[in-house]
Amino acid sequence: MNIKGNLKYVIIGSILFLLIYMFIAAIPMGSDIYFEPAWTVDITKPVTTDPAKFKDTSLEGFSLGNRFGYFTADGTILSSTETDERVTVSPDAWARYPENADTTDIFNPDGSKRMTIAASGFTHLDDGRTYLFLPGGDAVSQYDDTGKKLWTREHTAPITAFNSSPRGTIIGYADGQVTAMKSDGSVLFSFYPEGSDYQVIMGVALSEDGTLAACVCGIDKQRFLLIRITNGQYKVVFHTWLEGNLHRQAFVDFEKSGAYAFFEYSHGIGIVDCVKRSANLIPSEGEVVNMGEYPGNNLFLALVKNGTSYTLEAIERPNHLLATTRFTAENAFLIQRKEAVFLGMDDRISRINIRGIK
Amino acid sequence: MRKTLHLVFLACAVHSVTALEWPVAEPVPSSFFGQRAFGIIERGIVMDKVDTIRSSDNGSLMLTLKKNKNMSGFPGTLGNAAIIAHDEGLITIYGNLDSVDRISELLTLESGTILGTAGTSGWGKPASCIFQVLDGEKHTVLNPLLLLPQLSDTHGPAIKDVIVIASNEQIYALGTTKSVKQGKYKLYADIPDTVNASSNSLSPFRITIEVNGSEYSSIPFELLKETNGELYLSEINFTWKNLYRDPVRIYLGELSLTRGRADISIIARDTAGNEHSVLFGLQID
Repeated sequence: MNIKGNLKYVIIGSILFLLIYMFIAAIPMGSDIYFEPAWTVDITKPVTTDPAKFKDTSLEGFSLGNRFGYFTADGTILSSTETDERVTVSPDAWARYPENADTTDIFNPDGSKRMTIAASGFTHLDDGRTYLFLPGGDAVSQYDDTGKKLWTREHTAPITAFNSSPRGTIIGYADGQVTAMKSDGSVLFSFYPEGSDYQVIMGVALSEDGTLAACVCGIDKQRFLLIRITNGQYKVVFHTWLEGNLHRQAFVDFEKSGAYAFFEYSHGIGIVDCVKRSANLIPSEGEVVNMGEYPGNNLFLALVKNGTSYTLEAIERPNHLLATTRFTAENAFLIQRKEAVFLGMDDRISRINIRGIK
Repeated sequence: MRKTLHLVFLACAVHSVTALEWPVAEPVPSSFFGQRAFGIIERGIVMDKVDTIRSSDNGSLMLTLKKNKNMSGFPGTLGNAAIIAHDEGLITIYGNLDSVDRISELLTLESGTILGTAGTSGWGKPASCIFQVLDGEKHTVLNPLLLLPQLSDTHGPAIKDVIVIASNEQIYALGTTKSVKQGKYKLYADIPDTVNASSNSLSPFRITIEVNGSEYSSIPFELLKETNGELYLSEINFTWKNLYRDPVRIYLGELSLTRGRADISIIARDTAGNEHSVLFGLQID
């Protein structure tokens, strides 16, 4: 056997094998995702207001500690006002009122008066929808753009959960009832999920198109429910029991398309695939302040509060924690509009870019 | 009368079985169950000048509510609040706490456990306590006075400004009017109660209307029920819109007066048993 003669073939063969192996058997490395501030602005600095800027389509309202105002996606603060009163802000309107508000004026972002809510309670502006939570804790009214009351709903237990979408309003109560209503106040459904030792609703959400509802409910055998609403009928299409008991209000929301639902439970965050009807749980410590979705990449962001420590988490579906960043603040918020992520921290607001997404 | 006795017996029975303790040391009530309260029927008792708020019975913490801020949540008017489950489906609610951090880790509470101090987180006056009691099984709101130790109360309810309004909207003040034509009349009166000389104007516990000695109608301030998203006081027509349609007086029902003599009595009673009644004699033409 001519070893020397065959050696070159062995070497060439080995190299070829290695090259082929490198391409065939290669495992793609995970994305190195990281957060990069695009801009940071100080909201305590004096603002020179340009009224024309309030027509900016990227206008965002903010409420952070005892300040509220408006900014644009390019980092211009249009207004920033300090107040000791309660504040409600949405991109199209704002209001402030005292603890015993008997009547509340609502203003456009530029400060011009829009309407008056002529009744006692706490006003809540939610993306173009106006609500008044009445004294007593168990009643809420919705108003139109002129300050005219559309409907009032009372119940024999305090409101413990609330959410709205362009298609309606959903309310959870301390006695375990969940009620969803259309914009005109007519009831989409109302029922008691039951199944737990104590009936109480921690969190609710209604999808943008009004076809799905979700809730976290019960104590001692706490669970998440996904409810499909079609033609005036409702059906629980998915539920999952949750480990432990959350004894406070829980964050529940839908991703804009309704493909996913997010919820908070005692050990972390749940992400529900509403199409496949499955839930994935991600351990996390603290209270979820807000969540948002990054378009097209199955990437979700969550702002989680634990005392004065906040964590911004990037989560890849189904349950991979890709990146986190921690900061300390007394007050913080997260607003996500598609790729635009805005993070408020005490006296400043930052736009965060997510880098490393492939 | 039999119905009245039955309800009083029921109230006493409930009182003895599941009595609660006052959640504050020296209750100064500013609003009682069932009374007119800023666009709603009062759901419980609101107490002013409160410092420490305590659990009114042994129980389990169901849920804490937190005042919303920084663009998250919704502005519930109970503010920071504790919701506690007790035996037999009873639920107590304590609103306007300064904070719920103290109790968020407590799952089992004994009667008298400190929940917090009164704050400014809920709708109302600073340092007030919003206290409510629910029957979680029957889905009703109960008058807490049925279950709490009796307040020192020597003042009976007053009955003032009694009027009837005819179907043509003509108003007749009872006491000065001696005769009206036969027909249907809506009866209104201002019936404030006080517990002492310096107390706020509060609601009575029961108002009874008698015509010619027979019970005509009764408004018991005992529980609130719900129908179609609207609360009512014991009977379905005693909603906020009906009871408090007059800015000062309470609506007591519709009288159908026929030709002859009509002696109309209004009897108001508080939970301490103090009672006040007035009698109006009318000639019906």
